[in-house]
Amino acid sequence: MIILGISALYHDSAAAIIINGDIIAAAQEERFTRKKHDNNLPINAIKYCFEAANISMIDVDEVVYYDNSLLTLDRFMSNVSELGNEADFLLETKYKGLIKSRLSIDKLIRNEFAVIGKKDTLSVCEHHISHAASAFYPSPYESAAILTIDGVGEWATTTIGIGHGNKIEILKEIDYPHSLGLLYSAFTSFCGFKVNSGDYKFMGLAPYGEPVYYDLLKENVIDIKQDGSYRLNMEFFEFHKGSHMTGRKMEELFGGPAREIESKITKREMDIAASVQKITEEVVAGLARYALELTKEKNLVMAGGVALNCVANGKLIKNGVVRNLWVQPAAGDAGGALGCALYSYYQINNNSRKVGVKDSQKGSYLGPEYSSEEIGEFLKKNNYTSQFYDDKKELFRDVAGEISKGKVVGWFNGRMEFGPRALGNRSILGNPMDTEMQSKLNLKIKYRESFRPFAPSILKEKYSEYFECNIESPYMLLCENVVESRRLPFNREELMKTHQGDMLPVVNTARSDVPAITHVDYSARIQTVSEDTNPDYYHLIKEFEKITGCPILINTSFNVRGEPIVCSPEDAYKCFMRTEMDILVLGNYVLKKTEQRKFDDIDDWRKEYVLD
Amino acid sequence: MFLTKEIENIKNKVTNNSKNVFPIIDKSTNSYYINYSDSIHQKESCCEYCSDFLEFKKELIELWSESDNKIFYNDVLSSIMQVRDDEESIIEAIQLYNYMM
Ligand SMILES: [Fe+2]
Repeated sequence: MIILGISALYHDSAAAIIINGDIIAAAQEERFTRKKHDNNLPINAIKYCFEAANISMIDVDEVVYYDNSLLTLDRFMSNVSELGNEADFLLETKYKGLIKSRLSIDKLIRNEFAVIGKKDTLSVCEHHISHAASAFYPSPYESAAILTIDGVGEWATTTIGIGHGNKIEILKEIDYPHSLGLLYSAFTSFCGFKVNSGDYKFMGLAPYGEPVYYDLLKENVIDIKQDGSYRLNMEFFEFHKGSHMTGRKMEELFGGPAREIESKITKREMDIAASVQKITEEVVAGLARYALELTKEKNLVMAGGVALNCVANGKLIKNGVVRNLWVQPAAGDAGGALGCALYSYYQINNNSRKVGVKDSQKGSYLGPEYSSEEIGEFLKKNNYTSQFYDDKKELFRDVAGEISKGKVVGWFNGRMEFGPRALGNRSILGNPMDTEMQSKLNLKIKYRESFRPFAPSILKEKYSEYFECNIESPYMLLCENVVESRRLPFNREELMKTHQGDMLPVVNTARSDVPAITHVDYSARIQTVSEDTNPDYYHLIKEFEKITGCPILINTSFNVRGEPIVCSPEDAYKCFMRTEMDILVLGNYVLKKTEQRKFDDIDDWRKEYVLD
Repeated sequence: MFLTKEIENIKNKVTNNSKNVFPIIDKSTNSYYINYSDSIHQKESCCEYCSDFLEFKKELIELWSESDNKIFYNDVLSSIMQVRDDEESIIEAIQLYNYMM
């Protein structure tokens, strides 16, 4: 049985294909169109899925869309009614799009592909059921409590459910406008970052601040019950009006206007970030506790945009809320494509589900890959100087040697990752022991704010030598602290005072013997790398360890600020030449910057990509 | 401008009939969870797979026409059925909706 899942027309369009329950391929549309968070019908991603499965549209048994647009319309109309004469903006902007696209999704697909699968019909799956399915079905658990938290689907913004065998059931929900995801986004925006793409920055900013606004928020903005359920005080929010996330009342509460985009980040923003992070952790922990209690389960699975908050996830483990946690790596809306397809296969078509020791997400390496021949062809056609390594062992050794000398490497190898994190197949790699690496990577390679931390990829078996926790984190979805024995004395508050809130000198002050991946609160967003899931990446790190004694590499996504992660060798080469990256690895080929001709960049990429 | 007059009409009607659709903070309650099965918006049958998207809408109308919001949903959703080919009928749907509120 072949099932195609589609996520589209909200944030992150994607397609996924499963054959007899096996996840064959999944990819986000942005990677192909090079438009970040592309939310159009994912034509390219669908075509890629067909290619990977070696089929065409007419072979597909079920086509499923991850959201029920009618329910969204219902919410929309309630929203209009709530607003009364303030509904102006909403009516004139949002709903035309809703009618034209989401309610016509079947039409859009038919226009492009002539038919919708074998039966020429489209099935729909509720938004949070798609998230729940994406969290439970690929997990390594026979049964689990399911928690989904995002901005909003149709009505639901948070759900608690249970998964058992091949069935899932939603038990409780919290509805729009009460939304932890939207609260987070509202403050992301209030602090001058873009909603969605700026959420990570906002999270990265939190450790620089103190949660001094925590009480203020709880007294005014959000009411959190003992069982983790919550409600927002809508007097402080404007997102339901369609144009702004927050308004004057929020500015009054925080004693001044919202921060302008790209302006200087002040202590207030850092403190707001710390306070909102604390609220988020409290709600997530409350929801998780209640979900486990309600379902009497020991395992917890999560999805929805908020499940990408690796700091909150890490605390669930650290504080003993849950022992076994599995988070869908494509936790945002892209993952809905996979979820709705799996839901159709297991729940609707009642196929049996076998659970292995490992999850069935395949390391989330579900995207396009390029053969050595294809890469060779590309290099030859463009006459780019490169060195071919027949023996990968040699390549790992040479590249690891360069990284140990402080060189920055673009690493393009195997299948592209599904989900927002680069997991060692489309990654930029660097030496984590280098004190200046964090700001060098941020400013010269990624062209982004210097305060943003980098993530470590560590050999799985070396995990506990460096970090305080002992559970695997193959998808970079857990934050843990560096073990005390490796920490260096570091007083963030004092440093911030000394440098009058300037984050750069603080970032450049070493905090451990792996400074580039240790955040200012000693935390790190970890990827554990195992030999069976990604052997090439594993052996590269292993070589680096042989040279330096350190089993860790800095791993940041292969892109510049505002650009989607690279998909093809051509994207990778462009990104390589546009930045101060030293070396590019394309499968078995190694390219050195010093050996490349001047790059005639026809497009000004700084204009090509809107800053995120 | 997109159907300015109609939007104006809706706005006036909405203003006259406006009431709180979104629940507000109530500190006296113990929990803000809604049972999934109780939710009027998301009856189990809403998420069942339907052989066709349009077919699905029909089913939904049937389902909702049995509920307390009978007239509202029935009429609104009947209008929505035509919406995809007719922008103006959504205006009617919203007008109806507001009338029912
Ligand atoms: Fe979502």
